[in-house]
Formats: sequence, C-alpha cells, structure tokens
Amino acid sequence: MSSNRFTLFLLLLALPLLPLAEEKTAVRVEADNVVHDEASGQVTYSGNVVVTRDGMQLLSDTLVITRDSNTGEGIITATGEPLKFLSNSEGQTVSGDASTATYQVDSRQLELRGSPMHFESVDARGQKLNGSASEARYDMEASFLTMSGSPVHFRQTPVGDNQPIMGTSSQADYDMNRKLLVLSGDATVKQDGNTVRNDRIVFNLRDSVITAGARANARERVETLLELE
Amino acid sequence: MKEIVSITVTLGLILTVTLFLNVLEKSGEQITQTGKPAPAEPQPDVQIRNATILKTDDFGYHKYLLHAERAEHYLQHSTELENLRLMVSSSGNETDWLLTAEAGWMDAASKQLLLHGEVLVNQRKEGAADITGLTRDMLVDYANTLAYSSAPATLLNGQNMTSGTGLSINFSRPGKISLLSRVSGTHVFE
Repeated sequence: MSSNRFTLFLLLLALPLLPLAEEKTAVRVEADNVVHDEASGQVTYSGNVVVTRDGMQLLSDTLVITRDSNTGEGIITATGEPLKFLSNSEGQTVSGDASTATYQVDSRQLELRGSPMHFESVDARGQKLNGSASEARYDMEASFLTMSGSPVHFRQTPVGDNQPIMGTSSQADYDMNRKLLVLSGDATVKQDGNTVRNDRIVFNLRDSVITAGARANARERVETLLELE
Repeated sequence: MKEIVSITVTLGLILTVTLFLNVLEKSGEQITQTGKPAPAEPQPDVQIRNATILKTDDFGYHKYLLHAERAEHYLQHSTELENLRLMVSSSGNETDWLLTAEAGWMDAASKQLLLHGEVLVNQRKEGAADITGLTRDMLVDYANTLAYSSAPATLLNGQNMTSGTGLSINFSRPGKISLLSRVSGTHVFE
C-alpha cells in the first residue's frame, strides 16, 4: 500500500534527525523473537539472543531491556542457558559463562552471577588467567574485574615454560591495565608445589611476582609451605 | 471506370465475408473450449461508500471501529473492504491500536478480518513512544483479541527499529506486540 509505505519511509527518514546520543548508546540485538509489553514497558527478546555493543557481546536465552527507575540508565538483563559473554578491548579478551548477567549501558558495568560463573582473560601477549567465582563485576571502562565467591578459584598460565600458578581467595580484584591480581580473604597461591597463604596476596601477572604479608598491606603473617625434593 | 468499380466492390465483398467468417470461427472456438457459457460473477447485494462499523462491548464501550472507503457485502458470504482503518480499543472509548490496509475481507459472522497487502499498525500510549509496525496480509481475530501475520515485519519504537518475520498483536490490556522469528535490530538508549 503506497500510503503505508510512504508513512514508514517518512518515519525512517526521521530517525537520523533524532538526538545524537543514540550513536553512543545503541546496542545491536538479534533473537528468535521479541515482545513489547505495554504494561511494563519492557522489551523482551528470547531465543538465541545476541546483543552486541562495541567490543562486547552477550549471548543468552532471554534478554530484557529496562531503565533504572532512579537514574534512567538503560539496563540489559540476560538470563537462561547458555549465557556467555565476550569482551575484547585493546588486545585484552575477557570471556566466560554465567547464569545471569546485568549490563548497565551508560557506565558499561557488567554484573555476572552463576553457580559458579567461569571467566577467562587473555592479554595481548597470550598470557591467560581463568577461574571461577560466584559473582563478578566487570567494569569495562576501567578494565577492572572484581570477583567474589566461596572461594574464587583462579589459574594463571604464563607464556613460555613456566608452571601455572593457581590459587583461591574470598575475593579477587583484577586490574587488567596494571596486570595486578589482588587476592583477599583467606588467600592461597600455589606454584611448583609451593604454597603461600595470607589474608592478602598481590600477584603481579606481568612478571609473575607474588607479594604477601606487610608489603601487600596484609594484617596476618605470611605462611609459606615449600615442597622439598 | 466500370471495371474499377466492379473490382472495388468485389474486394469489399471478399473482405466483409472474410471478417464475418473470422468472427464466427472465434465464437465457435469459445463455445468449444468452455462447453457452456461462463458463470456470472457474484454481485454484491449491498455496496456502501464510507462505511463505518462500530462494535461495542456489553457495557456499551467501544471495542473496535472499522471504517472503509468502500464496502461490498455478498449475501451469505463475506464483506469486501477497500482502504480501511480499524481502531481497536481495550479500555473505555480510547483507541489503543490503529490498523490500516488497502483492502480487507470480513467473514460472514464478522468474527475475522483479513487485511490484504501492506498493513500499518500503530499503538498509542500516553507517556511512551508510539509503536509502529509494518507487515503484510494480517488476520484479525476479534473473538480472541489477536492479530497475526506470517510475513516479514518491521517495528519502530522511538528510535528503535527491529525487523523480523511474523508479527502478532494481543489487543487485550495490557497489549503486546511481538515479532515471531528472525529478529534483528538496534536498541537505542536515549
């Protein structure tokens, strides 16, 4: 019908004339179906949902787009198996799976929950850090990953022939720019059969140096178990 | 001179006879092919220009209002509609949904309406951006307050544009409009 086509044509023409903000805050969504709910104002995508924004991709079964009632910030909540996320920025790749994911569009914060959620981070040199946690908060602006769980498990695979470094803690804060992993709360790090225990351990992934005790601002004394051959 | 007149008359006669035979031959072919004369096209018993049908619920509230530039009713059959607008309301006398199409077909019981060709859907909601949809060949089921199309469809909501295959609308309040498969689009946070 020509009048309908003309109306849609005018609507499409008007889209670029609308405020500029959309360039920065637009996300691309693909799914099997979508429902606009008049009651809640929610847009719900379901079935093989893929949401993409800049270098971030989130795959899930269901995805709901809402707004924070206080701040008005757009919020994307993804649930259902399989839920996978992938972020690639400046050579640093962070990926993993979880049960639920909440993404705050303006502040670029991704909250992940799972039982457990798994993560993997690979830097430009190919150095890999992976593990599991109950919850994680990934600040994409600051390239900062905060994980908590009971406990957080991690494993670092250095480039070359070095043995992997493994550990556990109640909380782990990973600063991807500084390559620093700070383990706090009953932290344990193991390498080559040797174990370091402290309430706070700082692990520098750039040169694989582990710092514990007072130099790592810990309150407890360092406990080290050396495996003697 | 007589010879010229005679030749002209003879040629005229030959031409007339040839044309006459040709016409006879063609009409004979038609009768042979069909075996019987073609049935007459069904004729509408009522034709209305600028027809309006208003359906109200038990309390007298407006349920839907159908307006067509031309409506032709066929006895014990259906009603054919041209350039129609269907306004569906699910509360009070407010218009919640507006569907427009170039042509439509309403069944004898007036329970279903088939919208032919391109269909434009518009939902108006106070305090929120309108939702506009474009699809083709949509079936409106009044009894179940549903509308459905299996054709490719596009939805516009504010600055968001989403495309997919298949469109369904639930007119009951709160209303829902859905793309049924192969959805892709851009969601803009204003």
